[in-house]
Amino acid sequence: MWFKKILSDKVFFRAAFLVTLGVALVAFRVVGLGFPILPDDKIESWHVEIKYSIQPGTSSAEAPVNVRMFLPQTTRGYAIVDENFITNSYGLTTAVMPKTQNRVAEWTRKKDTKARQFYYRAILYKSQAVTDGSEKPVVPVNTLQYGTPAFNEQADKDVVYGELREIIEELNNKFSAPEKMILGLHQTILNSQDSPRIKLFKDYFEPQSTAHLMVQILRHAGMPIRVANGVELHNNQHHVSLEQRLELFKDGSWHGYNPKSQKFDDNADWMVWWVGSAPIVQAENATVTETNVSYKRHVESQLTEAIWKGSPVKELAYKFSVFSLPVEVQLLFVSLFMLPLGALVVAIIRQMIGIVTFGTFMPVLVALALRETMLVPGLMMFGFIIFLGTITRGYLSHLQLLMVPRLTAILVVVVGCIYLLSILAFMTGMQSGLSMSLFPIVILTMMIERVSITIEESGLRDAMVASAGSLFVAVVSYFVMTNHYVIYWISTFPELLLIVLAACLLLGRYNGYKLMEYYRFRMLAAKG
Amino acid sequence: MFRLLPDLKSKGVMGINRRNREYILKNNPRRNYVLVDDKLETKKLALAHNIGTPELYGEIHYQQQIQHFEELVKGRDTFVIKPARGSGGGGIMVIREVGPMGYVMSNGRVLSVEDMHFHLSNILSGLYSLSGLRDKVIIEQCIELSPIFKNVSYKGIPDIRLVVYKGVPVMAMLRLPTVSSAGKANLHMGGIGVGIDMATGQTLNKGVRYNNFIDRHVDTGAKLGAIDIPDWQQCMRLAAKFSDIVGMGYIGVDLILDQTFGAMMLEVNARPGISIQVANRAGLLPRLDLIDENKAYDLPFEERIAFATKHFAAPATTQAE
Repeated sequence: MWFKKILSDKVFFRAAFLVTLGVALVAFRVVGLGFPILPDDKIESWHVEIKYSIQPGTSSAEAPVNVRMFLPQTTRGYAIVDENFITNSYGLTTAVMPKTQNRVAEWTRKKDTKARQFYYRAILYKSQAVTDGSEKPVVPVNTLQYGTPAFNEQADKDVVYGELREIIEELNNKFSAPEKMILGLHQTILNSQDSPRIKLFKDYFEPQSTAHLMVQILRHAGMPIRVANGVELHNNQHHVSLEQRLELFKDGSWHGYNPKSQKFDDNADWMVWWVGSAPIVQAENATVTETNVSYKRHVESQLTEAIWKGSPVKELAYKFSVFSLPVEVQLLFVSLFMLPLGALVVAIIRQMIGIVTFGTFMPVLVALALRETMLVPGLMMFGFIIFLGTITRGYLSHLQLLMVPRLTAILVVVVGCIYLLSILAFMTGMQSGLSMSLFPIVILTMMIERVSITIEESGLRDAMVASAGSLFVAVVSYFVMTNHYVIYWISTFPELLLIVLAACLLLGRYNGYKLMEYYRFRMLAAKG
Repeated sequence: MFRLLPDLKSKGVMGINRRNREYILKNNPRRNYVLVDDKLETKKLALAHNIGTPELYGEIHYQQQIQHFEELVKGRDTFVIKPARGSGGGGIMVIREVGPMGYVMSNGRVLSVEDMHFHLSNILSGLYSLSGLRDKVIIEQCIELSPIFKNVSYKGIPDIRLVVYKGVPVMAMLRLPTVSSAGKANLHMGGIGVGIDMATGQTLNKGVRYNNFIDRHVDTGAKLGAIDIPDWQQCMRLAAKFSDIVGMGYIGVDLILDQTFGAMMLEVNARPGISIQVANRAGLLPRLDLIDENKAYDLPFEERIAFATKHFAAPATTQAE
């Protein structure tokens, strides 16, 4: 019986061994290391970057240059998983300020005269409320408190404090809850921007923002509030200006007030960078010439989280995953891993279905090219170029050229076609034509040569059949190679290639009929 | 039992995968391929063993030798140009006459000297070779077709394909060129295949063209059945003998019949096509299994021919009346 035959087959056992090994390795990654089987369960991560330039003061070239920068911190909503500094031959120290809990990085150098650029990058990922429980209200003690004799004394002789007393009294009469008071003050400021009182406050406090001004005023009322600097992370942004918000300490944690929406919203996108009114970068004996903050969103799978959380014991296993490589190399390997899969598709179609194609692996290469050009524009472009190229080739054969120069001539035509198509695509606003890389050109040239030879030797019909077959197989492998799940699986579990190998072994032993042969030999089939 | 697909298995039809895996890979040693893939080698091997083959007029190996082509064919009115590693009849050119305008091909087209040199150069640069490798040109005798085929050939030369398994002839067909096959006897290019009864050497009652069974030649209208191949036993001997010499266990031997010289070996194919089964309306596998079961390959030479004659007669339904 057929199963007895299979069981006595050495190749079957080898294939079974490979499959077992592959499945076992995948199982280890899934169960042992927590790699997710399916590519869902995305979590967001953000790459926040800050780049700044300094120009050391020329007069004091001998003085040490000292640059301090606030760093993002793990707060509610975001956790920092990775940080990079470019220190630029400066000494670097980081510290957490005891009072404000701000994180500070300090670049120092004994002397410097050159303009420098510094760079910092953090990878944050969005997590459920991360609070370390150490949040404390911070109220500067040197502020005169409303209602104290010292305040009243000051208010009697100083016009600013007099106005302060008045506005706090007004707010106290109207509102009882601190949130309401904050809202009320904001309304007052907004409604009377040009009133002498607000102008006076602005001149006196020199606030950086409305939030800062509100904090300055309300501190005198003894309210536990502070200025928080940060960004709301959404979409990708370059040249971000940092926002200032007011934060109120209540029920053991800080609650942000968004002056833009005039609401207390503990917005999940809001990332507190540092608190206080100091600028993000401060330099001693140097001028900060440029500061640029940008951020970018990455949607990563739980996989990334699994790797981040990896314990040292598991580290070796991670080292043997693609993810230990730099990003560009990872991308290259994802493409490389796709190649055997595409080839397997070709092998299955050729051995079991029997569709005629040009060359063995040409369809895979065409499929790889289609990945870059997108399917429909790519196919249209391929069809157009092959059509034009074949016509040119027909003309060239009348000129009786030798083969290699003739191939080169076709190459010239192909490059010319791509050039023309790219210009056309650009003029009509379609960008996809431009994404043509180098290697499809050679594939196209070889394909044109094959089409022409087939036309000459076996006629147009055979050439059309083989062209259609090649493109069909290319499209099928394109769909396999661009499948979201396939890409995820093969890049996360490269050991699946062992199963591909097993499939190849079994396919290599397949001696049954091809699907097309049932049609070809239908007249010979047994009746009934 | 319900069948989704036609039952080819019980008829013993051989598919490409089985041919490759069970017969070609097992019986044709890789190192011997050069003997059959290069027709010049095949020809020299045949000559060395006194197997009839069209006379070799000349060979061209390098582009520079093309200049001396005229000297090679001096005094010859008819000859055939072909690539040593060609496939599917590509690049073969039959010259019927050398006239003042140039070379007159069998289809009447006239080639200038320049055209001829271009063609030769194309052959050398590998245009017709299996893998696009550099190739050689064979210039050989153009045979005088046996009159028996006069009615069933049209601008081309019919040949006989014999499949030989381990030195035993298995199945045969007569391949006839048509107008649409451009003088080539290749089946997938529109040539006609007619099965041959191994016992008698007579063609079967129907031919096949593009998977359709036909009674008469599409161009000449002559009946395809009941053509007696002259000297059939000799044809089988020739094919079997060459199989022994070349050391390949599963080959297709192509023979042509010359008016004066009789059966001659034209070329050998190490990957013989499986369409021969359609032409014979019979599967190859039962015959191959019979050879293996009876160890017919161990028999002395003449008995192997006798084995084929005895066991591989065409089914009565397909025999010509």
